[in-house]
Amino acid sequence: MEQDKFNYFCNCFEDALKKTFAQLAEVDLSNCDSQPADSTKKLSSVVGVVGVNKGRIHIAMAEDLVKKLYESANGESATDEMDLCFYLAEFTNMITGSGITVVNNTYRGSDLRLTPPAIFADEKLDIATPQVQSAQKSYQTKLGPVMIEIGFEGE
Amino acid sequence: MAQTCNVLVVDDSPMVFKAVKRALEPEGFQVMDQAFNGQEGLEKIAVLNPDVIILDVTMPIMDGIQTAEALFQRNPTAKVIMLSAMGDDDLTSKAKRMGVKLFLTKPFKPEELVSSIRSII
Amino acid sequence: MELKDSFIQTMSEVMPIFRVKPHFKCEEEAETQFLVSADQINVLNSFSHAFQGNILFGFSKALTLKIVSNVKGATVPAIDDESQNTIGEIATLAVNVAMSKFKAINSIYISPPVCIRGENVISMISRVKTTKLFFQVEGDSDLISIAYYIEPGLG
Repeated sequence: MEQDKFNYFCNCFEDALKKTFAQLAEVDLSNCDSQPADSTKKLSSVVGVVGVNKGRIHIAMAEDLVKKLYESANGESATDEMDLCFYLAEFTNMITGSGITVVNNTYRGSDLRLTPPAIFADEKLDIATPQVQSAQKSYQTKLGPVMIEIGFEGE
Repeated sequence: MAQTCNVLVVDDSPMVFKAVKRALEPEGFQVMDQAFNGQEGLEKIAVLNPDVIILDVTMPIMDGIQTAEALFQRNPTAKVIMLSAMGDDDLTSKAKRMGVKLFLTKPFKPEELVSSIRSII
Repeated sequence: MELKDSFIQTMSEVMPIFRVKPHFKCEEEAETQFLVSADQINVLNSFSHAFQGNILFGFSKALTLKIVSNVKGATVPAIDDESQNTIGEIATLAVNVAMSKFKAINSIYISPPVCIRGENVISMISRVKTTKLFFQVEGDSDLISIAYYIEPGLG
């Protein structure tokens, strides 16, 4: 993929991440270099992008942050892990939906679609998409770090 | 006394249902029930006869577009607000051509949802 | 042909190319909503269009190393980027073949494979019932798993 187009895609999804955190959790994201420490249980969401361009969006955060986001949105604590996974799936759907809307409106005819989110949880979670051009960005929030990784195959 | 406006939520997300309730009930709306997919939604619409239907796009078994098509065939005057994480122009145009009154993107602001419903009832 | 049967046939046709012979052992439908335990090395293929869903292949670390060693023609001692790339391509090949048998291959777009590694990975690949198939590898105690869900897409 051309670098300019890839950079634009990345900006769209990063903006969507910031907007969704601000609207749903009233949390501002500030750039940082750190990611959730290895010993922290992480929840990761992976959403595929298909159409003229193929890729995936990966969003990772500590389980504690997801719990706090859940409480902020629902006014009560999550009862179990499934609640958190459901919530993260919905949260990720909004972020990626918002990002892909901007992309599709700019690159008309792309008809990019999202695949259903898949959620993974583990202390030592490693997620990689071989052979895609990818960019990763980490943010700090008052509730913990968030990482977004955007990857697309070449045209 | 003003008549209560009854709202049915057709969305597979419990979180969205809670958010809609929190936004609408303090404003005097009655959020009747939740259907988790379009098929269930059509069944509940037939039984509950809501004044307004809030309809998600991406749902299992029967998505929002298919649901809207089936609904408008039965009731062309149904008042539907479509809600989706995706809001690209092609999708919103398609929805409005079918008869959907308004298209809101998630996450929605509570005041936006309230004013949207008030504008169509 | 049902998707389950497509996978069973595909595994018996495709995996022997990589000198591994899996036989269908059993099927499991996730009783507790939607959370399935994943293996040490997992490959996620997501798709959308006329159908949408997720397919998650699961392998033990040992079996993954055996398969990639067979492909390379030399012993691969540890999971590295090349190994992840290889196992990702094998899983994607199997998905393509299975979807062809299911007569869906021309109705879907598949996103790039994602490799997920961990020790106690929990996954949620759908918000409706997930089916999980287990395959016993001949001459090996390890199992290969395929968890999947599919539903009509937006087209």
